[in-house]
Amino acid sequence: MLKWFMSLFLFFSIVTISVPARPVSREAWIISPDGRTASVTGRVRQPIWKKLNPVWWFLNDDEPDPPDWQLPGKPYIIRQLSWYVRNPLQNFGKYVLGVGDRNYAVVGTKPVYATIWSDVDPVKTGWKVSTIRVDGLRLPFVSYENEYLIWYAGWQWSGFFGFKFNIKKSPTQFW
Amino acid sequence: MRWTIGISTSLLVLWLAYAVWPFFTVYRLASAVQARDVAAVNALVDFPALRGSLTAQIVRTYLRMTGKAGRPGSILEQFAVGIGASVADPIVAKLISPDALLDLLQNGRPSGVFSDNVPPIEGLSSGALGNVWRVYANSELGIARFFVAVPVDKPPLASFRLGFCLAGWRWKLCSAELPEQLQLRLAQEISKSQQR
Repeated sequence: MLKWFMSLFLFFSIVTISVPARPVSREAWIISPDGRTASVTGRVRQPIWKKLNPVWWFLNDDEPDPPDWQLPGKPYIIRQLSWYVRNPLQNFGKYVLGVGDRNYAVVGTKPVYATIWSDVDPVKTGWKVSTIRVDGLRLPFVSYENEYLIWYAGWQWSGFFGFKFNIKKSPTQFW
Repeated sequence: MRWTIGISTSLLVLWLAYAVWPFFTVYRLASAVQARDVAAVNALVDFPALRGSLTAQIVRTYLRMTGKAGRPGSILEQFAVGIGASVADPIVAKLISPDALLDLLQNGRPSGVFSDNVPPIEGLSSGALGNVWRVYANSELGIARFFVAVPVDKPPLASFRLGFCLAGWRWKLCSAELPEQLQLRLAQEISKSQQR
């Protein structure tokens, strides 16, 4: 069993290294004056054979490098691995379940380009919803935040599919 | 037991080979820059990725300089960088032409970019790399990522932090963090172009 797993892991790792870099997309967002609608253009589709590669699911094509605040002072490989552990399955969430490589319009609570109220300055609380419209599909997103907790689920305005449940000021966090 | 030793040895050898691999690209790039070999530089640089890296960095410095930057990493900052990218585009387009890139990496004075005569900065060359041990000490390796700071004897704010990405079995230069002084000069150039 372990031999099979290792062989498959090696095979998919080699496939991941072998693929050429994806052309950099020249993504452009247009936001309506009322802040309730946004549309994106210029995105480049990820090839299907990448989306079928389980090793690639665990990588992060868009933010492969950890930010400065991620374990500063530690060796890069540790910071990078911990970054991938902290934000697992980024390619899977963005390109396999998500629509991060598609052009679409998203409609929702103003400002639509903020995932949760904590992203907005000044910080607010309450519900925040949006819907992505792509190829006749409606992909919903809902978030809620108050002084004790934050949770969200669905397709974020950026196209990423994810969910979160955090109790604020708690040492235990659920992703 | 034999299997365990065999697999462990193979993994160790593979890791060592992987760790040594990007250094060849660094030395090849340094030689190509020094010899001003445009064809070799073209083969060793991922231009679209490098363009993205330079744009984001110069725009952030410009926004910081003009007091328009939002909270670092915030949504507003990301949007500001996205919008500012169009402002920086003419300068970055000049920067990533092969000749200008050679100048940028060699002496920090890309041809046709600065309106004033600016002093040179020490950049990438065989001398700036020093010996293999110094390069190793100034490098960082990750998954499909490799970084090296040059010149090896300069503090981080005065050196280029070159990033190499592995794709299609080749390491290529895909990002370059410029010395602080050079970032400011480029941001000032955007500022001047906005006033014209």
